[in-house]
Amino acid sequence: MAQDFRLPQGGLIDRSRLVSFTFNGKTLNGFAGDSLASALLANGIHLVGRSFKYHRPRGIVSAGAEEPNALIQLGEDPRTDPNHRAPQIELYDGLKAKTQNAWPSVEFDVGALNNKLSRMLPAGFYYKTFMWPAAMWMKYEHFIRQAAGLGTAPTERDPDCYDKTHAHCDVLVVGAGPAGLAAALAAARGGARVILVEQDHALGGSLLSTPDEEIDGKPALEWVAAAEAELAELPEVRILKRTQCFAYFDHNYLGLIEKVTDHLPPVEKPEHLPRQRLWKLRTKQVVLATGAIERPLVFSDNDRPGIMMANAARTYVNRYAVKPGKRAVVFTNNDGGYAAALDLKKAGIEVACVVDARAAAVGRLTDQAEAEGLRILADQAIIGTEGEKRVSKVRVAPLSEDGTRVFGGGETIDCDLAVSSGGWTPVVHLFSQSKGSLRWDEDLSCYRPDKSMQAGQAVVGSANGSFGLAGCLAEGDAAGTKAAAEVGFKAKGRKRKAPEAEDYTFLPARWIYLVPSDKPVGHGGKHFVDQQNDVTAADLKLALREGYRSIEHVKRYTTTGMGTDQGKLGNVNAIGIVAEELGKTLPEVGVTTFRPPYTPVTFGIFAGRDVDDLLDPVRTTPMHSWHERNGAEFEDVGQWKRAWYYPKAGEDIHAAVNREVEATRRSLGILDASTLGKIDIQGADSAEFLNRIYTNAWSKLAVGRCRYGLMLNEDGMVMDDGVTSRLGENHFIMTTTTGNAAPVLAHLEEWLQTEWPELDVYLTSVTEEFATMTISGPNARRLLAEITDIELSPNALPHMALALGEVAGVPARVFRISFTGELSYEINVPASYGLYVWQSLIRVGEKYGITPYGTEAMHVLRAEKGFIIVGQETDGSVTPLDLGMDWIVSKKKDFIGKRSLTRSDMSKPDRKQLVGLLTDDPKSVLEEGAALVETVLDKPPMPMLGHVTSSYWSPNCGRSIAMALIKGGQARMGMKVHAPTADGRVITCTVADPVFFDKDGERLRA
Amino acid sequence: MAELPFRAMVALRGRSDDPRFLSAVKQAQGPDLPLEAGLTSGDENLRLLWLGPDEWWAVARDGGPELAAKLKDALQGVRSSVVDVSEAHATIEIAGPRSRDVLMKGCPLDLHSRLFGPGQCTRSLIAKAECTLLQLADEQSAEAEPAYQLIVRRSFAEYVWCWLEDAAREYGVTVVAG
Repeated sequence: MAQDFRLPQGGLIDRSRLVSFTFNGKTLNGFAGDSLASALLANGIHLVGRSFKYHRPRGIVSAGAEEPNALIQLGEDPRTDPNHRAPQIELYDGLKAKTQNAWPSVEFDVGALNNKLSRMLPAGFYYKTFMWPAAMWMKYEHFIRQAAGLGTAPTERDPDCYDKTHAHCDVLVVGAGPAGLAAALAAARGGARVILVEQDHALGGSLLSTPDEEIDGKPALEWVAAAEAELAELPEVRILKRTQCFAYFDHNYLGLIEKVTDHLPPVEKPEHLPRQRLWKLRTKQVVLATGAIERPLVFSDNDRPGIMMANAARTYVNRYAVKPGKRAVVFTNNDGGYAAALDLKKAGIEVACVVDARAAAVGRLTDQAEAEGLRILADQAIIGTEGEKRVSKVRVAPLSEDGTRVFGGGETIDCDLAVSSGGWTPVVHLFSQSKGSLRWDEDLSCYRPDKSMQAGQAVVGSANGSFGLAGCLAEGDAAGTKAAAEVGFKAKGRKRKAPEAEDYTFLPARWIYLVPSDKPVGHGGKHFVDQQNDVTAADLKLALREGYRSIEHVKRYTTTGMGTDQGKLGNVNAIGIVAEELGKTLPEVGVTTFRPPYTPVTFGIFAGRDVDDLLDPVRTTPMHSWHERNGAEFEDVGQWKRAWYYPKAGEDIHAAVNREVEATRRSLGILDASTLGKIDIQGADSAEFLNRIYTNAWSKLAVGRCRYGLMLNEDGMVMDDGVTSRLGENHFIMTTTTGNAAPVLAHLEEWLQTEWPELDVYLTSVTEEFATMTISGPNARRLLAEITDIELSPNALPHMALALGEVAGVPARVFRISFTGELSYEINVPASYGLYVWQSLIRVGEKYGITPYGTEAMHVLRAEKGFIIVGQETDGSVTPLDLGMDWIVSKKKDFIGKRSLTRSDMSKPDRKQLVGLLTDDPKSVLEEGAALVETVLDKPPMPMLGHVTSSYWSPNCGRSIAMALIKGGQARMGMKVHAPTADGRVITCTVADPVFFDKDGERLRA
Repeated sequence: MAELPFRAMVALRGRSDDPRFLSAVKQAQGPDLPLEAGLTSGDENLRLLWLGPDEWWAVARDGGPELAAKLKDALQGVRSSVVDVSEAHATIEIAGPRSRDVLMKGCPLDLHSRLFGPGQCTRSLIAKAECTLLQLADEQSAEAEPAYQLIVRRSFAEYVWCWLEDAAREYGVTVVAG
């Protein structure tokens, strides 16, 4: 299809590279360098969507991030994402774009019925209509989402690769317009590390659309090219194009999204590159040169396709060589609006007239337009428009002196393009996100940056309300120089002078936020304030009539400035209209909060490469490959994979665990216990340190002996337990539970470093230095004796003793400790020998039917003995006394948590205490977590006594066993409690001692 | 990228204001203990890493138990702690013009040569794993092509290796024998 609206020459496009793309299924052509919006306009397409609520036909309004209507669903499932602004989409061959909000098509839209029913869709419509019944909300939400048309998510998994990186610099410059470029140059020349971020694929900002501007006596774009070349040469400068700085957090931490390959045709995307990259940037200095956005004039029916911003029309003509129409009307309230009129005329577009709201049409450009013979209608306004899918006529009438009324029904002027300029709004989003305050500038009618809340921050150029080119360059240059100097980088040699240019702004202006019509607002014709959210002036007035006063409430009730818009186009007009209605000034009304992201970002960049195998570290023990080869099922314990059980063919978890438990008690089992935390403790005060950390006493523990210890938090609650052994007079090795290895070390270090720095104690984590395997069962000694030089007789190595020697020829520490209640040895060898020693034990143990057992069997074995597991029998609210472990709490010495144990609440008789439970039906196994009651009522709620903490089938006891925490449990021995189940049954049990097997401990002392 | 297997790593604790401690360490190993934050001393044969005000690592090509024994011997009667942690760690070397870019993807610290250069070490994160990172001071670690060693805990080695290889993919990466 021919590009009928392409100008024969000019523009920053590459006419030698024809680019083919589809829009709503139709194949069209553009040129390299086009945006999707410019390519559509080149093909005469203005109608690009339907509005959010009323489904009114909508056209391209802007040439930047502020675009409210041309929201595009880009690409096809699964590579599709919504909310792309057409002016920001760089055209590439094979691009597939779809209108986001139109069903079944943009030309014929069913939802347009809403427009006819608009009386029924006022502000707060959703709140009013979908209020009740509450149960229906889910259905309403579904309906709203479908009708809202804010794009669709892909149905399949995203096949693209995303990346993220940290970055640091001395000076970050956001925006590569004249101010940003001047800042970057000044900052970089002295050697500072500078990152220059530009959302566009080309540097230059506004200069890309204003070919007549000159800097230092040369065409501005020549200056831009020279600046880019100079920056590219500097080794400490990084220019990030196609990158949006979307968020600004405290302490100069900023979020950037770099579109790495989005602009490339699908077939040309390099496979090794990520699609997009998140930059997590920390910088010492920030120069915000984020520019300004032209503000629309809010006149009646200002939303028809073909009505756009004056400066956007300039951009399409000058940068993209596109005619946005054939016959234009320009509506302005300031001198700057005439720039569009002049450029449109120069491009051969008929300018029917310039409608100037100002009583006196004067100014630099106004005079120029007059000299060129343009028809100027001063002190007049557009009061209405016509045209179904494209503007065809505007009506123009004289304004009253106060600007709130018009005279007569107006003159009708034919046109297919109407552009408006209502002044300029600095882009203060990032500044505002960083908590900088804003001040209202009466002369410029805009909010400007006031007090910065971040160290080393500057806002320059039009973002700072300095709209003249010379001012932009001077401010940028000064800020860049200062930022570099602040971090110790001054340009060497004579200070180069700041780039120079002419200085003029869009003033004078006449500020009108709501352009009157010949009909009252809300009665025929709609004055759109926020086109994206379909919010009209009448909606704002309704919100005020209904009692909303705070601008934040008005925003939420009407939804103005929400969504991707974030107040870019409509914010000041909305505040102005609210102020007028309330009879207040704009600063009295205040301004709404700007939130990240400035433009939408993908979820993909936050995930980055933290997906699939890289989602989280998987920690494995040195024997992991053996467990895998032998069919183990694994259990996640934090990041660790632990062997859970080893099913044989045809076994389920119960059968496998029963077999492992029985075999261990009958003959011999082996467990991989490498994940247990191990802390090496050295120093003359080590025993004293342990005295303070554990509830029990350690001074008298002999070298070569082991002791079980319980440690409490400061609040007196059980924190961790484990066996600690004395390797030498001043040398201990502590074990912790797997999950608590890191927290316990942190706890110990905190006390050592902050409270007891005088102690001669050093802690070193050796968890991973050793592979740890436990052999357990009546044949444990016989097996070990075959492959160790350590004397194993009960006298030489009694229960709770350790010995050093060799196992399978490998240096080993052997601890005779037991968590199963059986004769048990914990063998520690250097980690890289773990698999070898394990395999040696398996091989030698074959004759004893050695059975590898997993964590599940370990749980059963210890429960048979009534041994607790921290985190299962305890939950941070359980004291040693609650566990019936007062025997381990020293009455003599001080220890962490001791004082808390003396609180009156700790000795209350109805505290939850640990007990054993025996179900009346021995075959019935309680559910862990089951609630226990004294009296069963017809239905819940029932007063709870407590809950089941551990429950298993015990093959060795031939019945079910359980432990529970119940109120006043120790006084309930022998009494009945009940566990009502979800399916209406009641399991009755008897409270018992939690030691179910070998109560006297003869087996482990064997 | 390369794995450097079976390295010796000994955790050394003591007081930097104790002359007996300093001289005993020097006598046992040769290089002076670095006393400033983030510095290293020595070379590939034996390198000392400053990890904290009272904490160092002695790192060598191999022979962890021997190195630990030698230090323990020299420090008899001196307030100190010597623990062989060779088995608990893995060492990965990554070198080349883009190696810093790869590390920056996972390390929140600023590794620019003005702040972190040859002969410096630090403890930080690489992606979701803790690591001890040092930039080699040898000639091969020039500004244009820095070379780094990452020391990670044994159970994180596979994760870190895979993560690095993935992160380096866009720049092109070759795995070499350590």
